[in-house]
Parts: sequence; C-alpha cells; structure tokens
Amino acid sequence: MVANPARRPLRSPHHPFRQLSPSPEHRTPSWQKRLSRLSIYGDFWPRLLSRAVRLTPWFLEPLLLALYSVLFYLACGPARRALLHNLHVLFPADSAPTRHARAFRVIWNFACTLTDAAHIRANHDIIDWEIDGLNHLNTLSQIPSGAVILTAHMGNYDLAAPLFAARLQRKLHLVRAPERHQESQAYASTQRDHMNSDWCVIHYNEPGNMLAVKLTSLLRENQIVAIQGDRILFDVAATTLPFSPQHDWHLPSGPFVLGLVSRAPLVPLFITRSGWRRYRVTAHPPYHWPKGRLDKATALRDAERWWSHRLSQTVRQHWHQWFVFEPAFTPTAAPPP
Amino acid sequence: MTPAPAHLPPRKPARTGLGWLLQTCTQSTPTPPASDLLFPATHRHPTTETFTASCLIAAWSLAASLIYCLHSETLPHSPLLRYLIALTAWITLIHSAVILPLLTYPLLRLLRLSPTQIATLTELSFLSILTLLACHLTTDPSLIARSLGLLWLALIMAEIMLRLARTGIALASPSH
Repeated sequence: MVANPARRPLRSPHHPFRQLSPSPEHRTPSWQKRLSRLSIYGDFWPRLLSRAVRLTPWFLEPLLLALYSVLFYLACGPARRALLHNLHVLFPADSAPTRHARAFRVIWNFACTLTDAAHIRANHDIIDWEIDGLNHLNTLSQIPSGAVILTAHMGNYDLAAPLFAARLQRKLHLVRAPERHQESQAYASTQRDHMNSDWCVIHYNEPGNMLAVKLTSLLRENQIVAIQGDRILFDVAATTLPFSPQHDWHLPSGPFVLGLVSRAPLVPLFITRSGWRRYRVTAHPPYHWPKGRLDKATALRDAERWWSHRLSQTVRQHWHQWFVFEPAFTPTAAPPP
Repeated sequence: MTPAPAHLPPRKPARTGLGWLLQTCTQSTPTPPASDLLFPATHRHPTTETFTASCLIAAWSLAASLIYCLHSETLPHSPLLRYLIALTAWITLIHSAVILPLLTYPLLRLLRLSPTQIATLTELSFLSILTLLACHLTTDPSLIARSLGLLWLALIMAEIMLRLARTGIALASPSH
C-alpha cells in the first residue's frame, strides 16, 4: 500500500488531504465543512463512540450496536451497494434477501470491531486474544532480516499490532491509509498516538511523505513492516489478479515491490473476530523470495499470485469480516480474438 | 514468544445475580481454546449473560412502550401513528441512557465521579426508570400490562436477592 505519486497529482480532487490546503476557488463554506463532520467519514461518529463506550451500560451495548448497524446499513448506500456487489461475486447463487443478510452481518461485525477498538483505547482490558499458527509466528520472531507482514482489512489489526510486537520483541511499523476526512484523520491520529510504543509505530500513507523509501530502509534495518494487502484506496498502485474464472480483483502492488527490493519474507497474518470481545490472530507460513538473481517481473508476479491465493482463501472463509466497502472485483476481460 | 501450556481459561465471572445463579446451577466450564495460545482479558464477563440481558431489556422496554402508546388516550387514534410513536419513544428511552450521561458528564466530573462510577450510576438510574414504569404498569386495567409489570418486578426482586446472596457467600468464604 505504498503511494505512487506519479499516478496522480498531489492536488487531485480525489485526494484525501484535499481539504488540508484547498485552493481559493475550491474553498468549502464553513457551514458545509461543519455539516461534513456529521457525514459517515466525519469525526462526529468516532468521537461519540469513544465517549459512549465509557458511559453506556453494558446491557445496552449489543442493542445499540444492532440499532446503529441497521441505521448505517440503510444510510450508507454506496458502501452497501459495494458490499452487495462483492458478496455477489463470492456467493453467486445467493438470493437477494440472503445477500442483504450477509451484507448486514458484515456491517454488524464492523460495528463490533469499532466498538472493541474504542474500548481498548479507553484502557478497558476486555478483549481475549487467541493465536493460531504459533509456529509461524515464532518463525517470524526468529527471522534475522526484516519482514513484511501482509494483512487484510479484518478484525482490529491496528490494535493487535502493539500487543504482538511486544510479544515478538521486534519493532513493528504499521502502515495505515489516512482517514478520508480531515478532522477524522486528525482525531484518529491523536487516538492512535496513544497506541505507539517502543515496539510499535504507526505510519500513514500520506502523499509526499516518501513512505516507500522510509519502509525500504526500515526493512534493511531488519525491522518488521505490517501492510494491508487487500484494499486500493486513494493513490495506491494496484495490480490486477484473477479471483475466479469470471472475476479479477485489484490488489496493492506496493508490499511486493517493498519485499522484492529488500528481499524480506512476506508473512500473511490475519486478525478475525471469533466471538463477542474475542479475536483470533492467524499466522500462515511466510513466502521467501527465490535465492540468487531474479527476473524481477516474474518474481513479483509469483509473489502477487501467492498472496492472491492466500487472501482469497481467507476472504471466502471469513467473508463476514472482510471490511472492504468499495467494489473489489471486476469482470475478467475477454481474451482478444 | 514462548508457547504457553494448554490450559482452560479461568471462568468468566457473571455480572448479575441471575447470571451467577445460572452459572452455579449449570456448573458451566469454559470451553477449551481452539487455538495454540490465549491471552485472556482481565475484565471479562459471559457473552450469554450480556446478550440475554440485552434482549430481555430491549424486549421488555419495547413491549412497555407499545402498551403505553396503544392504551394512551391523549395520542392520535391512528394505530400506525401510535406504533411509530411507540418505536420513537423506545429508541429515545434507550438513547437516554447514553445521551444524558454524555450531556451531564462535565457536571458529574465536577462531583469527582470517575467514568466507571458514572457508568454504574447510569445503569442503576436506567433500571430504576424501568422499575418505575413496571410499577405503573401493574396498576393498568389490562391483563397484559399488569403481567408485564409484574414480570419485571419479579425479575428485579430476584436479581436483588441473588446479588445479596452472592455477596453474603463471598464474605463468608474462607478465602475472603
């Protein structure tokens, strides 16, 4: 998920930080800006959530979660349509009501993970963590070089990171996409600053911050970098890979370029919600780059295909926790006649 | 990271007296983890208890709202409108337990109450409001309304008794 500044100018209208430095002709009126804080990407909701988790009676929490899941399911048209589209690719035989039920389950799980995250930030020690694939995680702690942890937008990956970095006794650099709204990003980074520790540092993939260079140097210093390998947001360079005979999906190519340049192994690690206030970290065997001189294009393609296969298995198994609210699939292009 | 020996996680303590009774009667044991390693949280409570309490309170308060709105003489006669008002009243009631403490938070902090104490206060206030509603329902001529009120009062009485019993047993235990 490394920014590719060449693809889009910094002042692009689609840019997440467009509001930070608006040109005079595109300056947003103050009332509109204030109202935008109430939007789905605004900072009103995370602020409300972080305050409410401290005061809400415990027996009302599941009820409020259900009510707000219904509200957001009805209100967030584009996200709902994208979810339904993705679920249609995953389960083509489903009827419309079944697909809606599945999409609602995704929203419910997302609401639960956001609430659990707010609890953790409020220093409530209420989450049980489980580890699956302990031998692979042990391998990760013994790898002498740097390593790239590939993960997906599932569970509370940003909250699991500090816990496991401390356990691994290795410094972990977590790469995140910035929030879409200026105030939300400011609020989220303040909140996550509390999560930064000696073992875990959060980096935002903001344009112009030369993150790719920084991450390469960190990998060469034998540190661990954790990147989401399933979402294309903003200016992220993408690669198209086959998902099924009928559909392709777009995955970020940045993590593989990073891995190839530094020859750091790629470690798939997924965090899924396994119950109420319970999360499971599943580590898989790492991908090691072939030794010796490499044909870079082939090596890159092999690694991307390996990840695509691993991710598709996880997504098919944990579809109800795959929080991708953008259309992830496109129909496979017909071969030229 | 060193692998921990496989062992059962400690049993999650119930929050309520009814949950405690259920745990004691069924002698429920925690399920062994299906994974290699487990880091249990310090403050954990049974999931079944949380969801049962949530469903019970949601169902009871919704039924009470519906009865009040359908039997009210001041509301418009349209049944659809009455159902809508009942639903709105129910949502408002549920939210009052979140919004009111949020609004009064600065004042409560002036009284040197911690967020945990405020949460407990909110919990008790909310349950008291529901109990007052239940008392009022028991005076209603309708049998359904009376039964609903009595059901809540019975549950609350049982809960209070069981909490007292639990505290008594804990105080009497040799480990105390």
